[in-house]
Amino acid sequence: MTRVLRVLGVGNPILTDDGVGWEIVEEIRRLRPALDAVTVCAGAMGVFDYIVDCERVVLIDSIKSGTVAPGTVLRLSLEDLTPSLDQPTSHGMDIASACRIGEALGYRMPRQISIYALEIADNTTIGEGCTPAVAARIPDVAKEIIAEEAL
Amino acid sequence: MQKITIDPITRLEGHGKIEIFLNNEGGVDRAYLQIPELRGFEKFCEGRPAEEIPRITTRICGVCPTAHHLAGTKALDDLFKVEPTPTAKKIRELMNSAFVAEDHVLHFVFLGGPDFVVGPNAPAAERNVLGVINKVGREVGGQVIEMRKRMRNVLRIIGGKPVCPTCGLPGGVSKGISETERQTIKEAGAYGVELCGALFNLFEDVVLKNQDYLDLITGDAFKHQTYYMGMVDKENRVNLYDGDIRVVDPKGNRFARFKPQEYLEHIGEHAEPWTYVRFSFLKNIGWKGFVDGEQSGVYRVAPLARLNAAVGMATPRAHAEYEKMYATLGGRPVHNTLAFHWARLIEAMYGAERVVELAEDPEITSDDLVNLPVNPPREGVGIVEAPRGTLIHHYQTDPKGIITKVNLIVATQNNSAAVNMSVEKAAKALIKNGEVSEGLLNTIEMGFRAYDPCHACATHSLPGQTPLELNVYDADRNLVRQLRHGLGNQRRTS
Repeated sequence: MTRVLRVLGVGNPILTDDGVGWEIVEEIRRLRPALDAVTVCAGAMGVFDYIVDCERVVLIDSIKSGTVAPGTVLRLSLEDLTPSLDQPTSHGMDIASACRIGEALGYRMPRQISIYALEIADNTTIGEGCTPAVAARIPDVAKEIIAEEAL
Repeated sequence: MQKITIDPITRLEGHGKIEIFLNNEGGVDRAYLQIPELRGFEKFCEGRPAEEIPRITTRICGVCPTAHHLAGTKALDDLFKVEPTPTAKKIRELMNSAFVAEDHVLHFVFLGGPDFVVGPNAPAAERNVLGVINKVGREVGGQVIEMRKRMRNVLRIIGGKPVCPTCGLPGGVSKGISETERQTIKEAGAYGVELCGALFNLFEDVVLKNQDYLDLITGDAFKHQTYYMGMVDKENRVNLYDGDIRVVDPKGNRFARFKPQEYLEHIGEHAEPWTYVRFSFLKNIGWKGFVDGEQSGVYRVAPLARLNAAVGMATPRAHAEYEKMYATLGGRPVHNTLAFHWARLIEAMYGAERVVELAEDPEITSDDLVNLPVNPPREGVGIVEAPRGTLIHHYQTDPKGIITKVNLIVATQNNSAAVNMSVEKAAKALIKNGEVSEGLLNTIEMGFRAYDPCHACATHSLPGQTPLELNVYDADRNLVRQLRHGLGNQRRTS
C-alpha cells in the first residue's frame, strides 16, 4: 500500500538526546493527530521498512556534528548523506544506503525525503529524556517542521 | 528556522578509531582499536521491576533487540525459578531462529558479499552492496529482502512488533500462535530454506571454485588460534536458544561445559586503560594479553566459534553444509576468521530449518503459554546465542523483584580481544618500513565484517553510519598517516 506522506521519528528513547527525533514526532502527533506519524527505535535496514512504499517522508533524527550548539536544527536532504555502501558492520547501514539498495532492487522508494536533524549533546548515556538545551527546543521545532512542511 | 548543513570536513563524533604506533624500524609496535561505549545501563535498571528489563534491554541494540529480549526473558525464568511451558519454549526458540536466519542472510549477502561475491581485488567503487546486487542479480537481492520481510513478520506475530518485542514473561510468553499464523510462519521458514540453498550454490560457484578466494579464507592474514565458545544441546550440536555453554581449546578438545548460572566461574573481564571496552577471557586460563594459543585465555564466539564448539547441526541441510565446510577447510576447529561468513550461512540455514520444524510441531499452537511464577526472586541468569555471539543477562533483585544489580556480557564483548588481535595482525602485515599500504583500512574492515561487531550500537543519530578513522604514528609519536572511512563526507550549503 502506497502512503502519500509519512512523518518518521528515529531514535532511542532511553539514550538521552538520541531520542529527540522520537520526542519531536510525538509532539507533532499531538498537534496533528490525523498524520501518519510513527517512531522507530531501529538502526540499519530497520528504517527501510518504514519508508518503502511512501511517496514522501519527513524524517526527524538527532545528529552530533560538534559544529553547532545543541538544539540547532540541521536541515538535510538525502544527497547530503553520502551512502556508505561498504560498511564494516551491520550497524553502519544508513538511511541513504537503504534508499540506494531499495532503488537498485526495484522497490518504490520515497520521491521526496526531508530530513531534520537536531544537534544534540549526549547520545552515549543511558537515560530517559533529553539534556536541557535539547529538550527546550522540542515544542518549537515540532511547530517549525509543521510549518516548513505544511503538515 | 535556522538551517545549517554540515561542512565537508566535519568530523562526526562517535566514530571508531584505530591508533597504530610504529617502532624505530618502521614496523608496528602496537595497534589499538577504540570505540565509543554507552554508559549507565546498569544504573538505569536499578530500582525497576525485573519484569521490565527484557523490554528495556531491547533498546540496547538497534540490530539485536530480539536476542536481548529472549536472554532477558530467560533470566526472568531463572530469577523466579519457573520452568516455561513446552509451548512457550518452542515459541521463543522459533522467534530466535527466525531472527538469526534473517539477520545472517542479510549480513552474508549485503555485508560479506563485497569481500567475496565482488571480491577483495575489485575496484573500490564496485566493492559494495550495489556491486553485490549487480553480480548476483536483482532477483537474488530481492529474495534477500523478501525473506527478511517474511521473517520479520514472524517476529511481529510472536513478539507484537518486528523490532523491540514485548512477548516474554517469566515462565512463558504472552501470546500464542493461531493455526493461520502457523501456516504463515511455516511458509516463511520454507522460503528461507530455499533461499539459503540458493546462496550455498552461489557460494560454491563464486567462492569455492575460485582458488584466490579460497586462499584468502585459508590464508594466514586473518587466522587466530583461540578457544571457541557456543551453546550446545545434549548431543553437543549447535543450539541457539537453550542448552549448556561448551568451550573447546585451539585443538578442538573440550575445555569446559557449563550451565548459564555458572558463567562467572568461567568468564572473566579484563580492563585496559585505553578503552572502556572490557575484554572477556577464560578465567581458568587467565588473561595473558592479546595473544593466540592454548596458553591465552582469549576465546571467540559467533557463527564460526559456535560451529567449532559443537560437533554438528541439529537440522539435516545445515549439518550437511557443516560437514562440507570442515571437509574443505581441513577439519574442526577452523581458525580462519573469514570462515565466519561461511559458518554464518550454515547457521542461517539451521535457523530457517528450525522455523519450519517448530511451525510443524503440533504443540506450537497450544494455548498452554505460561507457568505462573510462585517463588520469591533473588538472582537469575539467561543466555541465548545472538547472531553475533553468546549473550548473557544476569539480574539480581530484592525480595520484591526490584532490580539491585544487572550485569550484561554482550556478544561483541566476548570477541573484543580477538577483534583487536585481528586489527593488529592486519597492521603488522601491511605496514613495513614505515610504508602504509593503501589496502590497510579495507583489510582491517574485512576482519571487522567477519565478526560483525556491535559498537555503540544503540545510537541512531545521523548519519547512521559507523565511521572509522585510522591514525599511524611514528616512533616519536608524530602522526604520519590518516585513513578514514565514513567521516567527513557531509557538505555545507548555507
